[in-house]
Amino acid sequence: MFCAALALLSASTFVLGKGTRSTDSNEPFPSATPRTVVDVSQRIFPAVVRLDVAQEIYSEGKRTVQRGIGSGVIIDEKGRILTNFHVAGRAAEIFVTLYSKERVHGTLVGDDHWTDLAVVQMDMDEISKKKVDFRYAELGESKGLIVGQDVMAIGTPFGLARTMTLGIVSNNERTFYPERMRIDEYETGMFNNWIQMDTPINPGNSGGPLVDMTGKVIGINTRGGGQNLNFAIPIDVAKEVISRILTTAKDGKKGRVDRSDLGIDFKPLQDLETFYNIDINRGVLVNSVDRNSPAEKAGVKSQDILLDINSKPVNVRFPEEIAAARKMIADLPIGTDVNLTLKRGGKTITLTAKTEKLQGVVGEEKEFKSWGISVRELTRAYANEARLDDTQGVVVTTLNIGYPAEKAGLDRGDVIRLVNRKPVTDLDSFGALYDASIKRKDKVVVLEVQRGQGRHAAVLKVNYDEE
Amino acid sequence: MTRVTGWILPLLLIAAAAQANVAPETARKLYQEVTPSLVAVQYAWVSELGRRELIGAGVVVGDDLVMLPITIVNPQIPDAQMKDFKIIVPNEKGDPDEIEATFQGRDERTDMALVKAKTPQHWKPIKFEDIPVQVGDPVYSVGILPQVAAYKSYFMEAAVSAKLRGDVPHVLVQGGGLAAMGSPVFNSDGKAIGMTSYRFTTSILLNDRNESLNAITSPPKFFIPAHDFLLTLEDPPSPEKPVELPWMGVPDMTGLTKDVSEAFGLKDKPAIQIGAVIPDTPAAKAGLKQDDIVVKIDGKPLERGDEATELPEIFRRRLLRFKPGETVTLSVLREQDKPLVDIPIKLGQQPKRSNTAKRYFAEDLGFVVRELVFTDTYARKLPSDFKGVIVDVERPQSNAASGGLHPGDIIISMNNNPITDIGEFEKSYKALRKDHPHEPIVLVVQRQNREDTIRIEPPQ
Repeated sequence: MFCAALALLSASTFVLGKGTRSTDSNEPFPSATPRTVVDVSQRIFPAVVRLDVAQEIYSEGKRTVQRGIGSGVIIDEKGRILTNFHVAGRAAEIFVTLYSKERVHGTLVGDDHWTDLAVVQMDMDEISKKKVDFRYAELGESKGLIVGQDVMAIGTPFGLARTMTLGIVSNNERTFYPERMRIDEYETGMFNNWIQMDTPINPGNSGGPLVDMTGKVIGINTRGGGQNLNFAIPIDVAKEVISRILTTAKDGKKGRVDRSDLGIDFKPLQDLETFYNIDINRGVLVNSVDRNSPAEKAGVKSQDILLDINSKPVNVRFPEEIAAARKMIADLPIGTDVNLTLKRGGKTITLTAKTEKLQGVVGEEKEFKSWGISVRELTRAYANEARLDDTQGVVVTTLNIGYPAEKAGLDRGDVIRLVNRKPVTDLDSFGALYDASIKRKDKVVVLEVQRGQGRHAAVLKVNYDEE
Repeated sequence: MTRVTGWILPLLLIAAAAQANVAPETARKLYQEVTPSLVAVQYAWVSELGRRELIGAGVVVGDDLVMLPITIVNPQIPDAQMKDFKIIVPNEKGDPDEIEATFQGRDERTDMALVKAKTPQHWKPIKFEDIPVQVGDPVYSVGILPQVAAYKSYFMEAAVSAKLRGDVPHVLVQGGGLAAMGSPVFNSDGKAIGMTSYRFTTSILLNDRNESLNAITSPPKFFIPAHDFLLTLEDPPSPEKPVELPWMGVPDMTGLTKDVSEAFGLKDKPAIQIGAVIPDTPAAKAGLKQDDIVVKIDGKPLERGDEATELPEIFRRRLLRFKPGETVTLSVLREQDKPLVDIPIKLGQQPKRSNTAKRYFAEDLGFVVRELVFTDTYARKLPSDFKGVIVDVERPQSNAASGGLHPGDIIISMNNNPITDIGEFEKSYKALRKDHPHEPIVLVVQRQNREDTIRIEPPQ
C-alpha cells in the first residue's frame, strides 16, 4: 500500500477564514448528481492544501530531513490543518500551498502515529500580511456512513495539484486484523477501523479529505491498495485525536495523544465459543500477554477470556471489533487501577492491573555526531519485540561510515548497555555519558554491546579536531 | 559460505598465478592410480513430504570405507530420514556398480562423514598425510564428473597461491584449479595432502542437473589441508560409536579486535570475550562468566585467525576436539591489570540436536512436530526447560496451513491440554482425531515474542 497528498485550485475571492458551506439535505445519503459534484467541489477546494514537508529522520548517524509532498484540509478559522502523520509528523519544516496558490509557512502542532494523523498550524501573521484567503471545511460524521454512498477525494496525487476523484464507500468498518501495520517503523491502525472506498487515490493524496455529497469531511485519505481498494481514516477518529492534540499542545510542546496499555493481545472468539464454553458474543480471548506488562504483573494469562473492563462488557466475536476493544483499554486513565473480570476454565475471576502509558516500539532518537551514530530510547514494546531481558541501554539505529562507532564494528540493532563501564539507563543518561566523554576528550571509549543473545566490548577511537 | 569476499578478493589480486606444468606421463600415472579410489555416495532423503535422492563425491579411505564432506549429509537432515545408502563405483566398461552401504556417521569436528559398504570390498584406499605446502608448489587433484558424465574421473593441476588460516584452514590455488568438492588433492610426490573444500562452491551434488558442470566450468580454488580432517580417520565414527561432541555452554563469543585488546591491556594477543554463559552448563558450574576474556586454553595462547571475527570459530573447532568428560582450562582476564584467572571446565556432552529429535507426522492435518531441543529454546530466548513440541514441517495447502499454523511454532497446548513432550502430543492427537474426527483442534503456540491461538478445521 502507498500513502498519499494534495493541492488547491484558485478562482473567486474568499472571506478570510470562512467556513465552507455544506448542503443540508434530508436525504440519508445525498448522491452524486452532476450538480452536487460540481457544487461540492467548488466549496471544498478552497479548504484543501498541498503540504511540502521536510520530515526529521536519522540517517548515517546524523539527524537529517526527508522531503515529501502531501495533502491536508483546513479545519477551523484559526488556520489549523488536519493531515496524516506520515505526511507531516516529525516535521522540521512545512510549507502550505493554498487554493489561491499562495504559499505560507506551517508548523506542526502535534501528531499521533497510532492513528496516522497530524495537526499543522498555518502561519496566520503571514496569512494576514499577504492577505491570503482561505476557507475551512466542515467536519461531518463517519459513523452513519452507508456502504454504496457517493464520496469524493481531493488531493495532489503524484504532485498533480487540485485533483478531485469520485467513488463510493466500499466498506465502512474495514479492519486489517491480524496484520499489524506499520508506517515506516511506527505502529498504526491499532485503535480504529477504516473507511474503504473505490475513489481513486494515489501517492500524494495522503492527508487530503474524503467528503460526502453534502461537502462534509467524513475521512482522511491515507492508504491505497491498488485496484480501487483505498482507505481513509474515519473523521470521528480524527475529531477525537484533533481535540486531544490541541489540548496537550502548549508551552512549546507538541500535542500528542496519550493512551493506556496493559500489554494484552486480543483475539476474536468467532468459532471458539464452544471450545471455551462461553456465550456467543461474550468476552474476548486473551491471546498473549506481553512480558513485564501490567497484565502479566496482575496475573492475567493467555487463554483467559476477558469479560469486563471496570464492569463494562468487552465483546469481540469478529475481527472488526478488535480495534474498539483495544481502544477501551487505551482510553483508561494512565497509572490507575483497572478491574478485569476474566473467565479462566470454569471460574470467573477478577484481577486488578495498573495501566501504563502506551509506548510504541520506536523510542525517541538522537544523533551523537562525534561517534557517528544515532540511537533510540529502548521502549518496553521494543524490548518485548527484540526479546531483550530489560529496557536498559539504547538501540543503535544508524551509523556514519568511517566514524568511530562503525569502525568499532557496531551495527544497527545493537544495544549499548555500558559506556566506560557506567550503565546506560535511557537516552538521557547515554547523552550525559556522551557529553562527559566528549568534554574530557576521551580518545578511547569502551562500550558494552548486546547483540542477539550475547554481549561484547567495543572500543571507540575518537579524534578531536582542534579547530 | 561465510565472509568470503572480505579476504578472498584482495588475495586473488595479489596472488601470483604460478604456472604448473606437469609432464603428461606423471599426470597420467597419478590419474590412473587415483581413479579406482574415487566413488560416489548416494542416499535417499525420505521426509514426511517426499523422497529425494542425493549423490555426492567420496574418497575411498579403507577397504570398504568412503569419506565425504559433511555437506552431502547435511546435519539438518534428521538421521532417521537418510535411507538406502549406496556407494557407486564408476566402471569404465559399463554402468557403474551400486553397492549397498551403511552410514557410519558425521564428524562435526572435521566436517567429514563416513559410509561403509555392507559387503566386504578390496578397494584401494587413499592415504591422506599431513604434509605442508609452500606457495608456488604444484598441486594436482583427481575428481569424478557428475552423473550426466557417467562419473568419469578427471585430472586438474594448479599451484599453491596462498595459505589462509580462516576459521577452517584453507589453501588457495591458482592455475587450472581443483577437481570438484570432496576430491583428493596431491603434491608433486603424489601424496594426498588435502581435499577440495566444501566451501565456496555451488557444485555439491553429482545429480543436480541445474548445476551439473559448474565445478568444471568454474573450478574450485580452495582445498583443506589433511591435518584438519585426519582425526576422522584416526578416530572414526561408527553407528555403534558416534562422535560425541563436548559441550561447555557458551554459545556466544566475540573475537577481540586490536582496539579492544589494547583497551584491555592485552596488546595484540588473540583473545575471545564470552558473550553469554548458559545457566547450569559446565562453563557456568566452573565459574566462567559473561564478559570474561579468554586468553589461553590449557596454558597455551589462542590460535590467531586472519581476522578477529574468525577467533570464536577457531576456538569452537578446537574445543570440539576434546571429549566429553575431559577438562579444559581457560585462562581469563576478568579485571584489567589483574592476573589471569584459571578456570578448569569439565566438558559435558552436547545437548540433543534437531536431527536426532523424535518426530511425529500429523498426516491428516498436514504437519510434522518434533521434540524441542536446546537450540530451539535458546534461539527464542525461552527457558531451557520450556515444554512443548515444535512444528518442523508443514504441507503446503494443508488444513494446518490454512488454520494459520507456521513452521517454527512451538505448540504448548492442544484443546486445553498442556503438551509436555512428543509422546504426549502423539497420544492426545491420535485420540482427538479418532474420537472427534470432525471437530476442530485448538492449539496454543509460542510464536516469536507472543502466543497465538490456532484453530485447525479438519477435512470434512
